Amino acid sequence: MKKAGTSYLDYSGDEAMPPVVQDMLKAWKSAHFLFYDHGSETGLVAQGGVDYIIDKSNDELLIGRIVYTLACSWGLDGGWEAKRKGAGAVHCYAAVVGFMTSALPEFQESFNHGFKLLHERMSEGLEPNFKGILALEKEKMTELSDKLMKQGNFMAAAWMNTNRDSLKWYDGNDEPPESKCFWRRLAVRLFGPKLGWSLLKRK
Amino acid sequence: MKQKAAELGRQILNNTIKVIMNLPDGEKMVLGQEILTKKEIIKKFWADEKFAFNMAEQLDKSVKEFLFRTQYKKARRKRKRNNSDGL
Repeated sequence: MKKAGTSYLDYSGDEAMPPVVQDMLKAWKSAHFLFYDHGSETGLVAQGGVDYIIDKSNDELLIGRIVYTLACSWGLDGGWEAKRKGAGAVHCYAAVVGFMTSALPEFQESFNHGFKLLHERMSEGLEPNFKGILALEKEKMTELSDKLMKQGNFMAAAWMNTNRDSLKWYDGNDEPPESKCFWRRLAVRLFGPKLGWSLLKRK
Repeated sequence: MKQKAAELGRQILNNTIKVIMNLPDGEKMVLGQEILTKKEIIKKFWADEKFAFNMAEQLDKSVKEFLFRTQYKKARRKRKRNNSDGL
């Protein structure tokens, strides 16, 4: 990003706490949001693992932003909810993200590939085309998985495929993930996704 | 039919155990907030049924997917070559 002249704010280590990041998001309304840390279905975990930086109580801070995350399981519910509430687009994983230390360079490449593609397109003034980037990301992960398989690193190849299969780019044209709530599932079945999800909107 | 399925399941499980036992000693598996050494992977595999099942399923699926992709490509190349030889 430095090389391309893209300006950014970096909050890592002790700074990655809810009040600091939330103040930054409130102050920089047009900034996009990248998050590389732990996550859960409901939120993006703050430094120390006690609190959430982003969860359903404050995900309106992401309205209009492109959100790129490398965090476990947020795509199952929280990421989808953030998109539904108005985030520009959300890159997330709908399952636990796993990797093997013996294939660290390959996993690093896979985790950053989507962001590199997005950054390249936006630097050139092109439309992001999230679904196109998702397809290229998955293609890259398949390529890396084949490479690991040929090297005999079967466990790393399996994790590469698992990460690939749970990767999502919610851009407004997606099938919603299946809710764990019985009533929501029933409402979606009876009234369709649009009405079903808004009927059971949590306050 | 049931016997065949059980045999297949056993085979998949044995292959998974082989893969785990062949991991290099310094290898670590990072699973969200959990970091497992080879010893811990083996321990978890025997203690946690869900973990073992998921691991076996992931590995089996990945190997099959890889074989399908590479063999399909190979077969397609061969078919192309045969077709061009015929012309």
